[in-house]
Amino acid sequence: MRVKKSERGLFKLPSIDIRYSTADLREKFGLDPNRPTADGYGHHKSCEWFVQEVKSTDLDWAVEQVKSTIEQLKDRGEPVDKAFIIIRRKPRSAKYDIGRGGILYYKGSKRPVSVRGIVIRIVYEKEIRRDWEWRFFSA
Amino acid sequence: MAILFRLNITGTGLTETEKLERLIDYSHKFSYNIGFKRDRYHLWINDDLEELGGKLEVNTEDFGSIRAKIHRMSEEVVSKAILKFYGVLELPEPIEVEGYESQIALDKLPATLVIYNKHYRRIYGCTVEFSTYTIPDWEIVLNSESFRNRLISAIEKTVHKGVELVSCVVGFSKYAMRDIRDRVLFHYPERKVFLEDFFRTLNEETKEETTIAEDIRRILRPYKIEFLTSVLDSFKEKLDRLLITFFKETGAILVGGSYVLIAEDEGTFFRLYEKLRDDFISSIKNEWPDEEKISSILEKWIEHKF
Repeated sequence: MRVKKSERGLFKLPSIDIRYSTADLREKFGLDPNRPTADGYGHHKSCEWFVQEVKSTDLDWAVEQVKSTIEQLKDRGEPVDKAFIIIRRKPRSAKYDIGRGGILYYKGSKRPVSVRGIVIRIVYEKEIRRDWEWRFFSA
Repeated sequence: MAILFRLNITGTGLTETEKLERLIDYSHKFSYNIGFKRDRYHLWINDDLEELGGKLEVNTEDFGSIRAKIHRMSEEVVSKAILKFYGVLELPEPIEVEGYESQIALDKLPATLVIYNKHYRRIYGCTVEFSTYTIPDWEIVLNSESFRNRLISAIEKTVHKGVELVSCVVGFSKYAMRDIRDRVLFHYPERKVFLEDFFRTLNEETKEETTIAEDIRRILRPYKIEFLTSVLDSFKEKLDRLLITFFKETGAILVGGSYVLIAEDEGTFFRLYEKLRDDFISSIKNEWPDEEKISSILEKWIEHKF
């Protein structure tokens, strides 16, 4: 079985100038193969580094993968400024709610889900457009 | 992305501890059969997130200490316990993953097995969940025949006294047990379960606020899933022929004589569900007694009687 790299999620934007996939995260950054790894680690031209996980419906696993990747990158001294979970349709989750601006909250609380101070944001695939970049990155 | 099990504990007069022990033994056997090497165990109470009121009671590499802890807990606490096993799934053949700067071959993947408490069993409709990270299990099921064969064999080989498999499904989310559309594989010992899941998915669709969902809501409201399933299931042979036609038309592959269905692609079960739904609704819509008709029948009866 072969999994090809694909320009999924925010990697589709031309303003992303550095893209690393799961394979690169393992090989280049030495992330633990026995821990969950997110789909991508990228750099936006505004000098922001981000982790993204592209998922169709399930938020619970996506959060675990983003958390584990941010922790491991930070432990290795790598910069992470933002974290995104990309979804196609409104997900069902027993643990999380999506708030204004796509910010992820613990269900029934006002507490955002954050890892080492980085708040996780939800982005719908249809929102990934060149003219809407300002929603996710600094100008 | 998950391999979900709906299990029944058979037997009467069992304590919560005994029930949980049976599920642990079942999960233990499945882990062995699928090639899941576990190295860490968590025992949570209430929830598996502290932010949602969960409490991590045990975090250990020693499986025995989990069992010992369960035996010391009260029945009430045991019924709120969530068990999580962490480890790696050894793959039957390596997966080659291409990156922007590198290429790797993975011969194992991080994986988790969770035994849910009653609260989450109600929400997800499943008892046990097994899932892989990095490459989701559903993607491996779709693309690797050797893994698919190993999975089906593991499901069939995992037998434990006092635990009955109702169904096992592989899907895109934890909710795949409630929704046929979210699946790529399912394994049923009985056809009846597929019918139940079909009606359950109809119910799920009514929450989506589409025009067709309105029709479904109107049709299903006065009837229980168990009733509809048992009526349809009584036409065993005809129903089998009908379902097999639908399976073939939508690209679902029926394996052997049992109900093991494998999707051809990500959308196979979505198409299967839509085909069945449209046929069901268009065929019965006009003659199906709705709430109003049922009320008027009852009204007539009561007026006639008294």
